[in-house]
Amino acid sequence: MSQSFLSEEDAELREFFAEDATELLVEVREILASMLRGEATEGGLESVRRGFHNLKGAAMSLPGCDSLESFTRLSETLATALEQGVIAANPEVLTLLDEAAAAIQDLLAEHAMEPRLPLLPNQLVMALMYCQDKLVGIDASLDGAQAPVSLEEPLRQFRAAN
Amino acid sequence: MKILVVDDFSTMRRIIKNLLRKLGYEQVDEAEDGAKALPMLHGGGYDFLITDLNMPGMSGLELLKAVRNDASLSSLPVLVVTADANREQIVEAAQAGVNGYVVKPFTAAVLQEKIEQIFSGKSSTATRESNRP
Repeated sequence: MSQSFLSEEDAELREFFAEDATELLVEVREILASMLRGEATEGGLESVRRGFHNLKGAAMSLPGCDSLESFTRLSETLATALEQGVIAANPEVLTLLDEAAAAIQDLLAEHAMEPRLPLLPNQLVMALMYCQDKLVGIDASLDGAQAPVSLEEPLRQFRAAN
Repeated sequence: MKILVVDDFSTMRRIIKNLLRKLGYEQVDEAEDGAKALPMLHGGGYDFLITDLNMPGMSGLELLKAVRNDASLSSLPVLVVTADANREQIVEAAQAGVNGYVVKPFTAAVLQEKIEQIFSGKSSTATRESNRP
């Protein structure tokens, strides 16, 4: 049975998390914006991946944040693939991560103090899951010396169709 | 018992501090990465280190290795916290001399169990254990 309200301690933690996460997401989105402008950002992908990783770790540990946990897990998986050079950091993928970060900002701005956080937008969840499915296939075929795979066109087509 | 909690995300530090407070541990300080933690450990009189593994700058594993290679800190009990049960990371931490690990999410009871395991298994920390609340 889900709680109808947050305990005082959980409310205090949730408020702290919302502020902390919002600051982190601003940094993540600034890095992604720089990359989308074609500017080099040293350690940028690592910071983006770490940002989603930290949000996931906190969401796992806070009651009522299951939807955010699974969403940040998907986002982290994609960011990790970018950081490791498994897939190419092209605009479609970077934009998807930026939209994911923006969706979390919106979620926290509007629903941070609700006992159970609502689901993130379906279209983003589906696009992230699509990338995750593609990564499984890529991982299986990589021989270690392969150039990053581009998801640009297939992701664009998937998003246009969904 | 004086504890240092190291994590680059302040929400996680707050969560761990709250759990420790529930267990009666009030002397808890925090640092945001290994590089900031190391000078605090020197001369800080800490009895126990709880650190995240995945941090920028000096990671938890690097901090652990630095602690074990430092004569004044080498016997300090260390618990690592990780969001992913990554076998390689945990094995590497074990080889570097970690005393225990815990995978997020965890409850106060799990943390207490880990602390008890660590302190009951270390004769060199028997004196520190007597200082526990």
